[in-house]
Amino acid sequence: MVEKFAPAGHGPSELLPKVASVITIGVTGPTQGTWRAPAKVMTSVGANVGRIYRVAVGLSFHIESRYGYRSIYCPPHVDPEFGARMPMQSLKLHAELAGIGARSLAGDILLEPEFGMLYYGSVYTEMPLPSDEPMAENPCPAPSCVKLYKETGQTPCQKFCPVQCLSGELNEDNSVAEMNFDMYRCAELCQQYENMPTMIERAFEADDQLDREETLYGAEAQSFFYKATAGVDTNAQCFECMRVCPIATQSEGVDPIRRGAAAREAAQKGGS
Amino acid sequence: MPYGVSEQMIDTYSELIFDLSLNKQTRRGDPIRNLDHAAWLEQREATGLNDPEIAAKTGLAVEQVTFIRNITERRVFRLNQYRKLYRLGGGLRYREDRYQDPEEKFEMNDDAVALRLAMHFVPSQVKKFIAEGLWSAEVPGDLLAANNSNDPAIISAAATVSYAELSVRAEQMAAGLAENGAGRGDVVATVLPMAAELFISYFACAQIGAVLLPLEHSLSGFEIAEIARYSNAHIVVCENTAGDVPDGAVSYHDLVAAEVPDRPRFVQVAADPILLTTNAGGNEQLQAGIFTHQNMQSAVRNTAPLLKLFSSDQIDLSALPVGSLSLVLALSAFDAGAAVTTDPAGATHSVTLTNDGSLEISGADHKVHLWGQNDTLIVLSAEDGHTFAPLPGVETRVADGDTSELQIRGPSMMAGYLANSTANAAVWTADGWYKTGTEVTITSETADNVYYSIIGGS
Repeated sequence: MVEKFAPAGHGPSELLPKVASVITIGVTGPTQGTWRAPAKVMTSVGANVGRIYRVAVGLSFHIESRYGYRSIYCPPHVDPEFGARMPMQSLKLHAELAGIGARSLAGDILLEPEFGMLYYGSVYTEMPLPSDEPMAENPCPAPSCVKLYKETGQTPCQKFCPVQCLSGELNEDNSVAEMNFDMYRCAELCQQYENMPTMIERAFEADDQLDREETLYGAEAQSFFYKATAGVDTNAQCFECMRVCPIATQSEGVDPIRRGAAAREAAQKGGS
Repeated sequence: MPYGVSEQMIDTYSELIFDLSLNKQTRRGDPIRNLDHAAWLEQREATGLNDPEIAAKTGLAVEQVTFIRNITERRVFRLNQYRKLYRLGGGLRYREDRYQDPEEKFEMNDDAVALRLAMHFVPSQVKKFIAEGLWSAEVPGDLLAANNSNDPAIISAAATVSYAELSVRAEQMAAGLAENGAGRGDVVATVLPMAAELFISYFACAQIGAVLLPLEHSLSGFEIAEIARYSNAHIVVCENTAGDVPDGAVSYHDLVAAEVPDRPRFVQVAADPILLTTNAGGNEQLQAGIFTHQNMQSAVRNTAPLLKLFSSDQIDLSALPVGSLSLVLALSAFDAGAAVTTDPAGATHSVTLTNDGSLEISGADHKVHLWGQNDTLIVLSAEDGHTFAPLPGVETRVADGDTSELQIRGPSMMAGYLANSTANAAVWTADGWYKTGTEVTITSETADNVYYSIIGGS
């Protein structure tokens, strides 16, 4: 099924010719405190993407050593040679087909009703496994989002996008009729590395030395070089569409405070 | 010509390729979740194609598609978007209309740049002023924000303007000036009487980052035009445009009738220039001294306590010419919450120009003499009327040689003359002292201070 929906040249067999199964894994997003932080903090500590990579790598080793099937951790990176922010393999497609997320109005970010916005990783393996099904229902848009859409013509993610890269329409039954995503607008905010050539070009074309120095050493360049050299994971998301998404921020599984309530209560009873 | 792609080919294909690429994505319904492969194929193009798919559709080579797409992205992308988000905070804090792009905020025309290039301070002096708190981030807007009362701020025979009204009218005039294209660093020449109009103009200029050039009401239209030309004034504001005024002069009353737009307030910067003063008539040797907010505010900080004004007091400035010294006295009165008046009848304090060039400030039970020049602002004071001591932060010395000229440096000194290297060279010593041209004698010296008697001079 993955091969059928993947664009030509981007199916799992391109990486592992005898692939039999695609295993997709999701980890939840930020803490409740992080969702409420200023944008600068949110972009700095919001992503949990590192966790998923470690889990996926570990799983691929585990399958090979424990079960004896060749496995590969699916590369999560884009391949600029083939398209605009084109992934080598679509982790989103894997997760959607496996039923741990459905496409949202927020630029097709996947949402899961219990766990909200997840970070995904995939492992390709020659080990045959039974497949799961896509989700029966799409949790997006949530009822409160439909309410705002009917009042203002915009859902929260559309309304609060800093670069207004999202738009769309709902059907009479409140399902998504059309989702429009100006990915280039999103990218000029979130994929700061793409602006590096422009900075250099501006430095060449600067009218005077001060303008040139500002271009090369100013806030934009400093910010980029810091992120690039320190390996800070802030070149991917601004989080603003998800920050106002009730599924991403308020579902039971995404909220560590609610998830831990029972355990805290049990501990209190045990201690008293 | 990379991959055989010309600029014309980019013109031809850029929009097409950009729209077909993943840069613009549209999804209808939920075809993948519904495993509806036919529906997915049908909208495949709208969801965004990769470069090989675009190449197959357009008949271009993949390398050509990639190159054109990349170039188009570079040309479409805007820099600094993250900065907007970071400054506004994100989430429900985010209000797009509260953001002012830094590049727009600091936009200046060539004349404003020339004025800024004419400003020079000695780095070691600036370091000292800031370390000692003589220069701060204080701006005129702070004063208006702190006092929005209905107490009288400016009194004339015609009308009384309260502090609240002063704030509103300054905002209206700022809007009027902005409508006339005045902005950061632009010189606004005013030909207004020593009354509410002049002081409102000062606060209005501060609001948009403009530089006030206050001119005497008595100047002829030709003289005003010459000074305006010399100082690259962006606009000339007159009380009445029907009289002997330069062509293109704008009515003060029209400016204050402007509607205040609902836009982010200009952020006032204390290190910016706010005042340009003239020492001579309209000729090529005009000396137009530039003052920053920090110069003005440091003079106010030194002067206000010496006036001993209370909010119920009124100080009469009608005897003074329009200029930097009268503005410092007015701002010092505002700082105390007192009123400036041009009606001697109701005044509690008067200001008179004395023979030694100092200003005598007289109240019911208090008198003080203040001395300064247009280019220095107020730098000396004498409680007894003749023994002058430097104000805080002001350093003085007497020139070596035949004359006993007083030389000064301090936080209220101008930043230099606009476009007049001859005058600049003439008034500054090589080691950064200002030559006042005024002869003094030292009457006494203590470990902390030197006391002068003013003989006279310019």
